[in-house]
Amino acid sequence: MSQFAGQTLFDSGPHRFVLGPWQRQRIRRGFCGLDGALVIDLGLRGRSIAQTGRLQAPSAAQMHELIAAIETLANGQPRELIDNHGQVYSNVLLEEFEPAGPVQLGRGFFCDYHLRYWQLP
Amino acid sequence: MSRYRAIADVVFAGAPLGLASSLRIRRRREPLPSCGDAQAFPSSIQVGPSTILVDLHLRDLPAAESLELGQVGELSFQVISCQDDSRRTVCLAGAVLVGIETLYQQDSPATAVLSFAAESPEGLTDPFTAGDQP
Repeated sequence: MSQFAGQTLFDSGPHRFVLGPWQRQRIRRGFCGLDGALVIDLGLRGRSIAQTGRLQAPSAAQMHELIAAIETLANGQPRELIDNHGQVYSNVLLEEFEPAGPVQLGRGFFCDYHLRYWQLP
Repeated sequence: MSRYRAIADVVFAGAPLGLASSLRIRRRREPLPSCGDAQAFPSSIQVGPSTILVDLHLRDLPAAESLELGQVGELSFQVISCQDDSRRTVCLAGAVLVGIETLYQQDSPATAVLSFAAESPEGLTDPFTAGDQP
């Protein structure tokens, strides 16, 4: 069971996490007649974490409430993310929540989504 | 067990279609599975929109060939029970003719297969109805 900011907003449906690589910012400078390059390390910047999944709700109103609650968390505040395996990631910003399509009516209401976090070092 | 001796009164968009030999009605909603992390089986199976497809096999080729693809109307027919001659009426409102297939064979009756898909005017009413009559 995953959590973000202490809330289990994604448990209505299955979801997956994909970790991106940690990214360092660097400046490379070359000089005439010299092999190689001067690399200035500006430090660790962060990494992206992608989440894909499906939200499910018994009514359209409840689905829109759920989506609104998730969008509220995209407020620039770093939070704690716990994935489906219990792995904890700290200093995580929810950057983007994007429905992959319309809210559909199947057995109930459902909506597939993509979500992107940014973890600070 | 339901066993029927005849298919009668096949009508599409007001036009009678004679010599029907069989009708296949397929009602289906495509499964939309979704898995979470490390799940071997989908933990969510949602379903797509309902589709109702009908294949009507008949030997009345002139009637079949007089129809036009895309034609819309009510498709209805009755089946007559072997046991007591009671009738079951099946009706498909908003049937759209999407296929006409004819087969001419040497020394055998020519046959036609008419394919229909059903639409619902406002997307909520089930176009399919069936009921028994004494």
